[in-house]
Amino acid sequence: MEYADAKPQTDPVRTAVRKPNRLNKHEKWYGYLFISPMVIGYVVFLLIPIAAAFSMSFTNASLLHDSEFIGLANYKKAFTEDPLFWQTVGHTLYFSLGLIPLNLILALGLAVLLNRKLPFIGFFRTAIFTPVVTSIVVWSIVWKYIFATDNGLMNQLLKLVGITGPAWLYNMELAMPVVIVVSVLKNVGLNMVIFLAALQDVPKMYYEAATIDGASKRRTFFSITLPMISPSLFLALILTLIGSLKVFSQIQVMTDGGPGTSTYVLVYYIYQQAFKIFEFGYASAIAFILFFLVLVLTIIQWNLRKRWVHHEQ
Amino acid sequence: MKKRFAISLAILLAATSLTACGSNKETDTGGTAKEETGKSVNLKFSIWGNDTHKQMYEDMIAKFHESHPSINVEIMTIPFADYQQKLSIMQASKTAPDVAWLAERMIPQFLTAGQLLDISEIKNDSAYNFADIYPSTLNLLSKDDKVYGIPFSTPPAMIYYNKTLFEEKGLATPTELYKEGKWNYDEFLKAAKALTDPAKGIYGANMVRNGWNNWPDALQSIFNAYGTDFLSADGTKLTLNSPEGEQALTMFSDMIFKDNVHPKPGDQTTFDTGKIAMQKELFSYMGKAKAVTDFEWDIAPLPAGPAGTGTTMGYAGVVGMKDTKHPKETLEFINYITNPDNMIITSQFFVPSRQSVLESDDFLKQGPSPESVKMAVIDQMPTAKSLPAHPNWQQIDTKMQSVLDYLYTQSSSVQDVLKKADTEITPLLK
Repeated sequence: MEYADAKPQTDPVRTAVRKPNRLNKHEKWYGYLFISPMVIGYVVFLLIPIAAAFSMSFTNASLLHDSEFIGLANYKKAFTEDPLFWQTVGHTLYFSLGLIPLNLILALGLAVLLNRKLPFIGFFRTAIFTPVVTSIVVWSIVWKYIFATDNGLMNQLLKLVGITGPAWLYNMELAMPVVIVVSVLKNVGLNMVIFLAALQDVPKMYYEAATIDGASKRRTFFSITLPMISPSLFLALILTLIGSLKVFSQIQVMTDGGPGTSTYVLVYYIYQQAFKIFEFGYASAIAFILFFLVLVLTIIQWNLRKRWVHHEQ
Repeated sequence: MKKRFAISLAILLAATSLTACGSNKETDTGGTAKEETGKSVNLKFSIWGNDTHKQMYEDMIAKFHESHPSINVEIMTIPFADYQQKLSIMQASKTAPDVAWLAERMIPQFLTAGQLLDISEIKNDSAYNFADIYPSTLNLLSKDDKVYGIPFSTPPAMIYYNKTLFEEKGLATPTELYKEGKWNYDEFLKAAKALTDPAKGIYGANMVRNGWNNWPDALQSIFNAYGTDFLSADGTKLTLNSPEGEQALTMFSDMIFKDNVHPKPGDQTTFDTGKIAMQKELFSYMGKAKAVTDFEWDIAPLPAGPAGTGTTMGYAGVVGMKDTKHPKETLEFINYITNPDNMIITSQFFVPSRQSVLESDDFLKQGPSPESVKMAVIDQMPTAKSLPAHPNWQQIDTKMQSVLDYLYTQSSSVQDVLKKADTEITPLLK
């Protein structure tokens, strides 16, 4: 994890470049030339649209009529007049709080299980990682069929043991848990690989010392393994949190926000407002509320990390 | 250093945007130049039809190309569920097709926004015989005496039934019951219960086609049959929240959850698999039905409720988009595919809006038998009502879909669903 040190390092490097040296000056421009494709792409396709969306969030822009400046009315509407917005925030947090613990614990468990030398271990690691590189849309469609009410694989299997399965995706209480499980299965491999790499980085001598001291396996895990991989845990936590707040594709494919509004999450709501009923102004405002939500949560985590992340290099 | 960086970035940006503009202009002038010299023009034509419809149009376009060698037409298929959304977005990003199918629910939005091409000129073409088109079918596509599109399909909803299944159980078919004047929802339910066979996965009835989100298609005829409507005629009030609406929706809900004779929400079993005994469908399904070889089938009108059959009529018109770069060619193409000769061809799937075609022997031959086409299509046309439409339809539709989910998941009673519909949809009608 180098980002902790990245800041203090930049200054000496900069002063080194600043020396009035003709060659260096030229080289500097070459540098800009080389990064220009990326910078231009970033500015044209990301920065300018973001700025445009921000200014749009203060208008009532819509495909169906001309847009007018309406100040903070969109934000006011979201916070005070639109009960569906708060429902949506609630569903998003439900998704995150359901997904993150499940994902991290499962990923850690799998990483510990697969962190040993066994025949075919490569096969198992690959098998669990494969969903990560599968298209999320394909993954969701397949699982939508698995959880189909009448002819779905899940209910057919339950039928074999004499259970009539529920209408998984047509049930207000079950739809979200199903989406969470499907999302965990899709992405658990990524965190598993991060943890696996971290586990293999823990120096063997600590375990040897612990064995000599007579520590139990449990104690070894909680007192050595966990603290040693805490930077990776932190990275996985932040990535998973941000990813979970941005959930969209699996919702759109598997439930389309339904049944009712029971799986409306923020990004789905933005999509629905902008591209289904064409209220671009309001959709932009919600997008920026989501942006600040992610920002605040990330800052909080960043500050809390000092309490529990050890061994940052 | 920061400043220099900013300046260089600005220059680069300006340069790229300039070249971008330049190339745009080039293609623009290229296009018009071609038009002037009479070289080839490419038109895009969007439809939501199935592959048999597409094939029919492709053959028609091939012929059109013979008489109009300078015009190429490319067909673009968009699934019905995404059609209005996708077309709106394409319109906003200036990539809309030149010619498009539009259904009744889509027309008010595009017409109110002034995005459709005025094709009134078509009236002056004597060979086209504009007067042949039923004036009532032109209402939705006309504004201030101007015509913005030509309806090509005005099919009444009907029942396709699996004759083989009826014979196996020794039941009177819908056709027979209709002739005796007994074809109503009571008989319909009786037959559905008798025909349902869970062991074989056979459902007695299916009102849903084109996906579960397409609720007007599935439900509006039941609303009508029970004597209510979704919106009031002027579109300012939700009239569904009434005792009649409750009866209608209860009947539908009981079919699915109480009597278990109707596929469950989300199930997409189709008639041609032989697992649906009675399927509500449109005439345009004829192509798929004719491909069935495993069983005998026929068509019949919808059953009657307390207030009659309440038959609804599908509606599709072909329009030109106002932003097209080739209005002249667009008009020529619309003229061609809806002229009397070609409407005979399209009448194999689409109930024609031309009197001369509808009343012709050619059309009667398009169904399983002339007798059933007359009974299920022609005799139903005078009373058939079109589906609800409103300039705000996208919003109303989205809300109603999520309200109906409370019924489909059995989370709320029919009464509560109707109340929810009232509170959610009434504000959108202003």
